[in-house]
Amino acid sequence: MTLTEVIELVFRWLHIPQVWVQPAVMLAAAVIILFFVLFVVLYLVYGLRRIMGWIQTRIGPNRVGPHGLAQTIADAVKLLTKEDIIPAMADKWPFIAAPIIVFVPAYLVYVVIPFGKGGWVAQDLSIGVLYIAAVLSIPIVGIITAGWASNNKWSLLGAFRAAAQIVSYEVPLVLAMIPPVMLAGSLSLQQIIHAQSGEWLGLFPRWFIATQVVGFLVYMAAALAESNLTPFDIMEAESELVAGYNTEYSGMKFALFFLAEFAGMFTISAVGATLFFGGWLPIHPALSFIPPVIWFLAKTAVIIFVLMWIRSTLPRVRVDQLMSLGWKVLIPIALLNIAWTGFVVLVS
Amino acid sequence: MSKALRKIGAYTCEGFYALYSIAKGLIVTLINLLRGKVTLMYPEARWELPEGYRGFPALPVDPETGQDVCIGCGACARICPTQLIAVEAHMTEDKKRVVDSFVMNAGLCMFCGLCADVCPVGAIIMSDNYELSAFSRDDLIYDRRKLNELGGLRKPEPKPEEPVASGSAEERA
Repeated sequence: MTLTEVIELVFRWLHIPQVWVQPAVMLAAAVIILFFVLFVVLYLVYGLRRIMGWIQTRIGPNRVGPHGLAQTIADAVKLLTKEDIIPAMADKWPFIAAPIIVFVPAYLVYVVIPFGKGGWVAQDLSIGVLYIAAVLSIPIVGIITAGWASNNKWSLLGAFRAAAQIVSYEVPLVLAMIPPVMLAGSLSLQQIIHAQSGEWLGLFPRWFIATQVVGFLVYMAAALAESNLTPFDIMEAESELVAGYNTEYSGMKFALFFLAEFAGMFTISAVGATLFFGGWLPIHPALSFIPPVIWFLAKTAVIIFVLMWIRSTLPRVRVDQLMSLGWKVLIPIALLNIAWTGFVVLVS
Repeated sequence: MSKALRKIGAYTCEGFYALYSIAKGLIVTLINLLRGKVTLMYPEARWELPEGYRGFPALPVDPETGQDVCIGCGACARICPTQLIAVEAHMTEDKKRVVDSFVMNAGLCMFCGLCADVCPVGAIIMSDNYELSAFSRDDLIYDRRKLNELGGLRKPEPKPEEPVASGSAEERA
């Protein structure tokens, strides 16, 4: 039974005209995705704290609830009950709009994330990859707005750094997303996953990672920069900039920034899993009794773990090193990789 | 031409070396992730104290006499660097010293252990107690009764014969 059928049934029972079914389905899907995003963010924060703790041979949060699982819920409640301060010299309306501009795109990306076969995607757009690349570049507007409206030098410096970083790393990110599109011959994420089905020699999955190791490395480096994780977290470098663009934010508005950051981390990992690791496809058809959603979430979780692992291993790079890595190393490699993929497509 | 090629080669080597060192770092952190954790779940789990641990000084009670063995000489009060020990004693008519009060202020103690070292009869020991927090400063003043409680029952160990100053008594005489 799909969501549409359930809502149709309920509406018939309540004698609501059938015209309203389609909007209601959309609204229901939006609410479900919103709650999924909230849930994912809560447990990503928990996971990050736990993994970083383990890597530092600490235990991490383990007091609130079993294994500390309720810790982030308590943190969220604390955050939402805090006083919401708008600095006297801040530009009020941009200051309020900025967190919304940052959060909405991070949430909108979930429209095309293919959680599973068929109906497990809110809307399988035929330009999915392009849509992701486009929507992911909107938050920078909000970040600049936040930095400018706060009327604080740390915020402004953080916002400038963020602009430089995100705009630079958008390029290798998108260039790394192109080879899977070339191999699949489609921009739709579901089509890209279908193109990765089947095995070589009946054993090895035909995921795009097989020919795209370099592309995946470039993607991961750009993903670290896009989701603001440590080797590239100069935009909020707490030892230099207090907290970067969100220095002046507190309460609900800060929560939105936080939410957007971790939602973005999940998105970028999910897209990575889709483009390079066959999305919801099982490793081998013999394992297809496990639901596709589980496969998808498991692959995403592995990529998220690797991101967190790198985050807790590497020190922060300097601003100029960050820029030269992006423009002088990642982009040429990504371009060469596209040429190599063209060769692969030509041969096969 | 060959110069440019060499430059590109060096650049590529540097890139591979960077990848190699990142992988090395990742392996180190992975090993740490799987290692035992150093965190002690404090109120539930406790640290196993090593022998000779210096907690707050205490006056253990001799199980035979039911009293500590302090003779009120005041050596501890004199040697204490922060002067937190106050000993009061008086002489009885048959030339015996009686200890009137023995007070220590835990708020000043730096756990150096000099009082225990200097005590001629081994009345002071360094106890295992390190949980000395209190809600008021007055609670940090330990009188003789509290110090006895802290010390518990324990037979005083006879001090090894050790001359305070070098040279024998005959020589100095």
